[in-house]
Amino acid sequence: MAILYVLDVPEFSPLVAYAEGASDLNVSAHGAYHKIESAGDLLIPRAETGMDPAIWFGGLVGGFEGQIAEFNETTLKIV
Amino acid sequence: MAEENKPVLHGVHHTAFPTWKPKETVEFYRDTLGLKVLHAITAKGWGRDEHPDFLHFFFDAGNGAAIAFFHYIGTEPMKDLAGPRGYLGMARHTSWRVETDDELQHWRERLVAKGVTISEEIQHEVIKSLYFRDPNGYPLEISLTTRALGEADAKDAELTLEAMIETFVEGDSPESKTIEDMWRLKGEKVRGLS
Repeated sequence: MAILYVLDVPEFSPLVAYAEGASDLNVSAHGAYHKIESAGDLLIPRAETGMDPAIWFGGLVGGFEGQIAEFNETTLKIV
Repeated sequence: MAEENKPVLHGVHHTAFPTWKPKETVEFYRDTLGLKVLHAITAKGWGRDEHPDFLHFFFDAGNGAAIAFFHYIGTEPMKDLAGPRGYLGMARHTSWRVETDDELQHWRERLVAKGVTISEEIQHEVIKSLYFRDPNGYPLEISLTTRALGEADAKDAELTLEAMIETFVEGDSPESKTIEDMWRLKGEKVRGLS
C-alpha cells in the first residue's frame, strides 16, 4: 500500500484531480491534506497533471508512506 | 502558546553588497533598471586605520527598501564575489516584489530591450519569477506572488522543518539520509494529525 499526502493548496491540486479520476487511486480528506491512497503502486504521470517541473518536483512535501520507486520529470511511482 | 510582546520588523530597509565595478554598478541599477539614486556616503575609513576609505550608495527598490553597495577604494577585489557558478551561486540572491503580472511583463520587456540576459519566467509554488544578474554577478529576481500564504501553509512548513531537523541533524546517521527519508518522516507526522 502506498500513500501520498497533499496539502489542500491550488498548486498541488492537479495531483488530487488526477488521483480522483484514476480508478486505482482513492482520495480522502485528512485535515488540511488530501490523502491519496493506492492498494498497489501509486503511479502519477506528470503529463496527466499538467504540472510545471518546478512545482512537480516539490510535490512530495506533504509526505508519503511506502517507497519511492521512481520520481523524475515524467513519473512519480510510490510502491 | 504564541509569544507575547515580540519585537516586529516592517520589511527590508536595505541590503548591501561590495563592488569593485562602481561605474558598471551605477549604470546598471540607475540606467538599466532605472532605480532612483537615493543617497551616497563617502567616508575616510570609518575612523579606523585598518578600514579602507569607501563609498556607500543606495538605490530605491520600492516600498521603502533600498539596495546598496560599498566601493572600498584601493582594495583587492574579492574572488568569487557572487559565489561559484550554478545553484550555489544563485542561492544567496535578492528578489524584488512586483504587484501584478503586467508589472512583471513590463520588467521582462525593459530588461530584454536593455540587453540583459534573463531567464524564462518560472512558475514556482506561490510565486512567478524572472532571474538575471548584475554586473558584479549578483543574482537578482523579480517575483510576483501568485497566491497568498495561509495558516495551513505555515503549519505544513513547521512540520517540514521538524522533519528536516529530525532527519538531517538529530536522526541516526543523518549524513546518510536522503530527501526520501525526510518525506517519509513528514508523512508520519501528517498521518498523526487529526
